[in-house]
Amino acid sequence: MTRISDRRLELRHDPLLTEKVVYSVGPQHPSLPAPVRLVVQADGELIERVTPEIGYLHRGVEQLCARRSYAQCAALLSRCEWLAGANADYLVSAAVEQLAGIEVSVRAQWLRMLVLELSRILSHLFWWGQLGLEAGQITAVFWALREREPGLDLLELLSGHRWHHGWIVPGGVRREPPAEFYGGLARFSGRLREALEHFEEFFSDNAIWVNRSELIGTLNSDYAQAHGASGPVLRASGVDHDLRRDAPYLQYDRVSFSVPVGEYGDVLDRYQVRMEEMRQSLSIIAQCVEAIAHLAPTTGGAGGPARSAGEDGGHGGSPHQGIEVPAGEAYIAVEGPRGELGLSVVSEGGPGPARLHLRSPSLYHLHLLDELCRGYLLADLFVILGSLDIMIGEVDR
Amino acid sequence: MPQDILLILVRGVILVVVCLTAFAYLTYLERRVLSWFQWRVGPNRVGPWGLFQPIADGVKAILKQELIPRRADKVLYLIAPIISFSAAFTMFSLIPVGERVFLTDLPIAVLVFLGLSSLAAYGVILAGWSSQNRYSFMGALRSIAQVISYELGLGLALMVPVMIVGSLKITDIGNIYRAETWHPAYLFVLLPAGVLFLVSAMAETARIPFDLPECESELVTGFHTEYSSLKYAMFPMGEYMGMSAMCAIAVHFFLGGYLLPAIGGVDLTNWVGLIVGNPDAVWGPQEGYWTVVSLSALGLSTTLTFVAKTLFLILIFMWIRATEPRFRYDQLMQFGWKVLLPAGLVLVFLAALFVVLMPDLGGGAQSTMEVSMYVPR
Amino acid sequence: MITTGQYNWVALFLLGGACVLGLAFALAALYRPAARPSMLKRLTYESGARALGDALLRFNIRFYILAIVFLMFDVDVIFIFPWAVSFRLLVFGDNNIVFTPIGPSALTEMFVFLGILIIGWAYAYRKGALEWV
Repeated sequence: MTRISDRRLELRHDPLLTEKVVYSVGPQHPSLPAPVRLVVQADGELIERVTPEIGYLHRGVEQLCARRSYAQCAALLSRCEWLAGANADYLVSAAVEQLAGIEVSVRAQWLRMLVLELSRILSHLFWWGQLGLEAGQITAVFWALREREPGLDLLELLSGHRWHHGWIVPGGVRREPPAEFYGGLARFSGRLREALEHFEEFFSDNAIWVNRSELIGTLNSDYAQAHGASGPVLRASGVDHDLRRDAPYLQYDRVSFSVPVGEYGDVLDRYQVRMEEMRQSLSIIAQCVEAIAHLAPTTGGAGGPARSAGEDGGHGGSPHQGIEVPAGEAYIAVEGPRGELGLSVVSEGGPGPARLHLRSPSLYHLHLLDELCRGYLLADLFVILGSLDIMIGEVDR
Repeated sequence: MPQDILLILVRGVILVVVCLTAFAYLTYLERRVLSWFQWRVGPNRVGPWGLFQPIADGVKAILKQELIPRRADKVLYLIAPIISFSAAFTMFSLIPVGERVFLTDLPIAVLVFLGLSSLAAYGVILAGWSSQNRYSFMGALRSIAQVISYELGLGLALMVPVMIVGSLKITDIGNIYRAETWHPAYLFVLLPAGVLFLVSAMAETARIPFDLPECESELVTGFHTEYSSLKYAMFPMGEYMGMSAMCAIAVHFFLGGYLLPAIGGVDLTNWVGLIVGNPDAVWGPQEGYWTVVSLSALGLSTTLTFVAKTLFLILIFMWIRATEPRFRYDQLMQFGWKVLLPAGLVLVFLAALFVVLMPDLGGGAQSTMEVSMYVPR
Repeated sequence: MITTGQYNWVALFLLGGACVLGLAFALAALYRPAARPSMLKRLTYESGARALGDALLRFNIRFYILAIVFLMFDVDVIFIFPWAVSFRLLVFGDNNIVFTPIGPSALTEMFVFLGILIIGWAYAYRKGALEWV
């Protein structure tokens, strides 16, 4: 303990010296969704530096994936992006399709889009509740989860699972949605539309919340772009960039939706961008349902042509365990709820990837914290953290 | 004489038990109320409607392992919850709960009350400091700054009725709400003062949106991060007691105290006395909490009225807790110093003007103050 | 009606509250399991990681400034309280109709005092003593 006594000595010589305080936020802190450690150096309550220390949730997913089949990769990767697991399923499937040159039917593409947008909404709802908690609004999280619940039920109806569905498979989707799915979806959308209005009244228009978020944690567009920000965080900083529109995949070029863009890049902008995105996603979902209604289901009911080898071999395993993917490289990116979620796959042939890398937006956003928090108060740290919507499972994989 | 002491002890034990149970159930109430707001069920497993939940919580707190952090200053660490609890508890000795139902009716009750509410902050400060944890320390520092800032608002808000009545005695102040002395003009000064008092009280008892000493999402749990078992349980207990005491004082000063509402100019408080008759004839003249025990209708009805009004204010506190996000620290301080303090000073001006302009109102209680002796006639 | 007996109740509550709580702590010590926490368990909890030193910090000076401003106003409030209580008496005496000879000065002097207070407050405001950061 020489360190402490040294410091005391120093203090004795300089009676007016005030100390910098170093707080260790995490790995187990009530406002952190999953373990990560932030070492916060502050002068009183004024933050001078934030150093994220990651690795508490490291599971070696990328390495694990390199020894497993694509189906297993999808299952593992959806455990990295657990709030919107459909994205991981889609990434793996799209990579396989690109490498193997599989064409996916249009109907299946629409169905995939529908589920991706649904999971974006569910993820944003969770974020809304979490942000409420971090701002001391203890009711928001329950309201958010209540609206989220029917959405999870829908996904369960679709795939049998609520979080890690594995419904999007190479070649299409696992099965045709049951008839009651669309009715449930309509109810969910209608209800959520109302709830969003309610949320706005309840939280967004609250003077305390506006005071806590306006011009807090501003991120300018140059810094955001230079440091790899993407998704709502980038758009809130005024950069009009959305993969769904700028590099359309699936059928995104055939739906109309607007991309909300912020002005100052502060917490309020990030908040409003996400709130607006939920509305846009609802409208995309409506368009998807419309399009699906006009497309006949393909034979076999799976919405996709290729259910190649191993279709019947699925005793507990996956139906496409035996897909032989030719050698090659692929990079697939989607506009996930948190930003550009990318998957880079190197295949040397065989049923699984030789190497796989996930580009997770949260990793980049976590390292924006230092820039965002510097000069703000300790209390702002948590609101800023909440506004970035960081998913630790993506950061440590 | 030994019988007197025995009587005092028995009464004291009854009071403590009643108070502890009442406040344990306040935690239950808050959990249920919050769960209504949050579309969930709340505690409903222990006993019918979860009514035994506070008991289960208490037993659990008692049976928990004792955990004193190694670095902690042991003496202060143990004293802190005791201060916090007993300061809040003592507030209840000051508050009359019904017509002639009171333990004390001190001529300086307001000052004692303000003193006790500051004393409760010592528990928080000592707890935070003695734990030797940076989060706790930060919570304690915030608590000091917050409590002292809002104490001014609290004192200034209470000063308004005090000026109008000219007494620091709680029952004297309650008397202006009687049907025969009430005048609508009071609203002009008492209403803003009441709002100021409630806001300051919320900050003083560190409730959301002012719960910065604890604020879970920032400072783990703030000043009591290092506390566990029964010692931990005493902080929420003290907080609830403080909150109820604040609400009780607010009821006395701004909501007509224990008086039943006067409907159409008919003061129900008097009616109860008239209809049921004078209990003194049966039980002999009674004063103190025992009036209720001796089943005086007036005492009982006014006590129930008082409890109902206090619960109403407590429910408002819970409502606000369920709907508001938390202030940021600097905003809180600025709100206290830049809004509430000048507002309080302006209110004191207004109260002085009110007294001068409406000389007929609010008088009649001055003679209780000894200061009157020094006023030249 | 003013008896010292009333104050005894207040003291009794203060002491009684403390004693009951002390007693409860002692009883809890008898009832709970005797297992002593390990040294690791007794470490300071700073959200999971090993604590970065103790909390005996020389904290930022702002608290000091605030304390001074508070002291100023709190003392002032203490001055105002006696005036507030006897205000009616000072102005009207006991007849509630006409001003006493010292009535006008009781009114104006305190207004002057409050005025000075507000000037002090405005000064602190301008100097930024009320800004938290």
